[in-house]
Amino acid sequence: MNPREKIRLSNLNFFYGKKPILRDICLTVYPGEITAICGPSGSGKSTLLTVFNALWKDDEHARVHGTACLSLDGQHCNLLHPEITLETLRRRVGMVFQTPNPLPMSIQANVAFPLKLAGEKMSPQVAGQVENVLRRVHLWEEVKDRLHHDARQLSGGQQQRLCMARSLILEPDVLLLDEPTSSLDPEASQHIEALMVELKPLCTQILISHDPLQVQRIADRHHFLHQGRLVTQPH
Amino acid sequence: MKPRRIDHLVALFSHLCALTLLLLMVTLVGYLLYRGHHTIDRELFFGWADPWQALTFQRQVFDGLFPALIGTTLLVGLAILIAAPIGLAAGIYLAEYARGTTRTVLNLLFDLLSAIPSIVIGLFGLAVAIVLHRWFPGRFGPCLLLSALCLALLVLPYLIRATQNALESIDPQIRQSGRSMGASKLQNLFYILLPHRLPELTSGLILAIGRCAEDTAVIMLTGVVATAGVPHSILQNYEAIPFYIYTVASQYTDATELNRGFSAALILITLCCGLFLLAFFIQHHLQRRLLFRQEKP
Amino acid sequence: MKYLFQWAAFGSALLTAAIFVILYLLSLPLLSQGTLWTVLWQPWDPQHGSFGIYPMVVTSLSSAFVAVAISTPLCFGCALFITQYGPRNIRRWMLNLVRLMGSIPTVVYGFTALFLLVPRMREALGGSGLNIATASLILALLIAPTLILFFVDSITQSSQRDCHTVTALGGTRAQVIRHAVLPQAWPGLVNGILLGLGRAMGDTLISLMLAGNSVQTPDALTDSARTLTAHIALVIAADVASLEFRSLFACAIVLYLFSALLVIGVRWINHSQPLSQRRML
Repeated sequence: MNPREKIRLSNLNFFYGKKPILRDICLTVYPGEITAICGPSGSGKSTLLTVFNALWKDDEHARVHGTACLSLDGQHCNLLHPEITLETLRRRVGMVFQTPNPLPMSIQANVAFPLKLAGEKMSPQVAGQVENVLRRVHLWEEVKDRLHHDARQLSGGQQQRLCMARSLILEPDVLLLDEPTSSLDPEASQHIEALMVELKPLCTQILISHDPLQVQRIADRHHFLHQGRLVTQPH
Repeated sequence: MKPRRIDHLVALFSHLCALTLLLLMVTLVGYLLYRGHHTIDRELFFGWADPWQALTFQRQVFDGLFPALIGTTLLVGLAILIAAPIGLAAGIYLAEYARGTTRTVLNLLFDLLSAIPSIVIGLFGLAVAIVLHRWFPGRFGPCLLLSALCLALLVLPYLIRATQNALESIDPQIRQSGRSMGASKLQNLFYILLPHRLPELTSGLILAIGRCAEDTAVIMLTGVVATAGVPHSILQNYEAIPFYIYTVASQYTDATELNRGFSAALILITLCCGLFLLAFFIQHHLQRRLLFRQEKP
Repeated sequence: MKYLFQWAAFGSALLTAAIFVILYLLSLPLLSQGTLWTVLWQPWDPQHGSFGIYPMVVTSLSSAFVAVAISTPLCFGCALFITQYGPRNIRRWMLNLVRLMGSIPTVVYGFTALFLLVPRMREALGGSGLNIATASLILALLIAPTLILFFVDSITQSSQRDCHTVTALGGTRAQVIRHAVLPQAWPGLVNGILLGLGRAMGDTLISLMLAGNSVQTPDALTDSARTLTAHIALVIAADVASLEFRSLFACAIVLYLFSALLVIGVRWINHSQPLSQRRML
């Protein structure tokens, strides 16, 4: 693997039960870029995304063959290794879902939740970290007076930025975004897009989108999935 | 006949059915209220004993509902204490871990368990007591503990199903979101999935309490008696409200006793419906407040 | 932790099997006289050493079936009221009322019926008023919530698209029910009826208080008779080693097997649902 590469998939096949979902995927993701994957619904985009944080392993019917390599701190990490520590991997590879999914907790508890999972208690230091990421997603000014209110009372766009902040608090190397703007109105989408561009120096982003204009606006590279096969178009 | 005519007839039929059901319920509750409300007083609960002495267990009450109330409370409390952790754990196993054949077989067995008539479970309890009595003579007979164990067995499938359904109906995205943040399977379960379904779990538990409180068939084989006073240990006989109602119905001697039966029925129906309404309220209105702990800044 | 969950699940499942084993073992002395089959068909005549449970089986089955027969049309009407015909703002209330009905203790039904229904039955039919018909009427009320909730569930789950199609073709609501709802909802309806049958058969207090409890094979619904459940509840004082006492376990086995049969029936219907639906459409 070339040191300039972040993730490399080669000859990757994904089966759900006996049904092939992805076939012969060869894909390279470069650090600090936004790599977009587009395609019609049902083409396997979301499935492909679950390869990057091994989320597919939670599903008993899913099987993956091929190679998938992630470069973390100069080390190569085989994503398909059967004994990979999922928890550690997922702390380095964050994910933002299609519909905003704040957990039923306060705003602060939501953002600090990944730290709690990693075993940290709520402390002034953690509160500071929460403030930092909320500022980074430009949500701090809007919520600083109601950090202890239910996160589900926020608007859709605010919720999605909250979810991004929640992923960012672990300072992930890679951020996976599964159509993060598809359930938002145009103004909120603009916020999220701007944010993604700002985040480019901090983490590598893989974006799933079926909006070609959005891909043109922010993606550095894009790939097209059709019926489980990848059609790459150099930018 | 013209389709429109049929439609009107079906509409009339459905309205009549609903009205019949409504009238039956109103009659039932109205009659209980009419016959039972005026005897609900101090004497009903404590008989001739001094309420304060009875409440502090200094004096046994023999002609009041107080021992039956205490008996039912102890019984239900004990049964739920036994059944809740097991039901929760088994429900979690079914929803989160069991796969394939194991899952099918377990599902079938729990369906079966929930379909077994309560009297059969009571008889099972009695049988266990007989066997134990043969091995350890004089130690273990029908008692409060035995009844509680049998009731626990009776409500176990309800609790398992409630937990299983609550967990299985969670939106897959919520399930994934915890995992994608690096939560282990257990962390996901305890931090996200169970809190997320707390209202359903709580109302399932409350409905199980109601089921325990109303059941008569199990306890009449496993240790309830007409007069026992307040039990001093869980290895003693006890009284319970539903059994009190049954005894009154089968062997009342005068009008006073009968009126007490009506009052007891009124109390039991209020208790069970009250528990139901509480469960309903938690599920539909308290969702947000119950889940969301207001943290002090 | 996982093993803790696993133990809880397997333990509870084992208990289900253990119930059957214990019941079987304890009824062995009676069964050793013949098979379960002969015990089923013999009359109850302790004086002549015959402990057959035929009268109770007949009573249990007849009271449960009559209860279901009374309850089903009533409940179907109520389900239609809740899903189709009732005024919209009343539907929810009605549904919640039905749910609330489900939490009324059976002993309260029995107790109230003893003073409201039994005197009427006595006037109408003569005798003591305690008979299978009385018990069946109240059992019908007891199982109503189960039936209605199942009916409502299966009716609302049937495809809205088909309903709209029939409506758009100019069908009345009755025709929508006939052509769009029933073809899809029938497995749910049958499930509800089977579970209601199980509840009616398994209930103890109502038949114990209202059916009269005399040990004879009933000839008519107006006869006083004893159900399997009431039989178990009544013969408690007898000597533990006697065959009379052992007959309780035979009753329990019959009840256990009957409920198992119903569960398997329900599961079979659920399993074959997609197939039979395809055949119907």
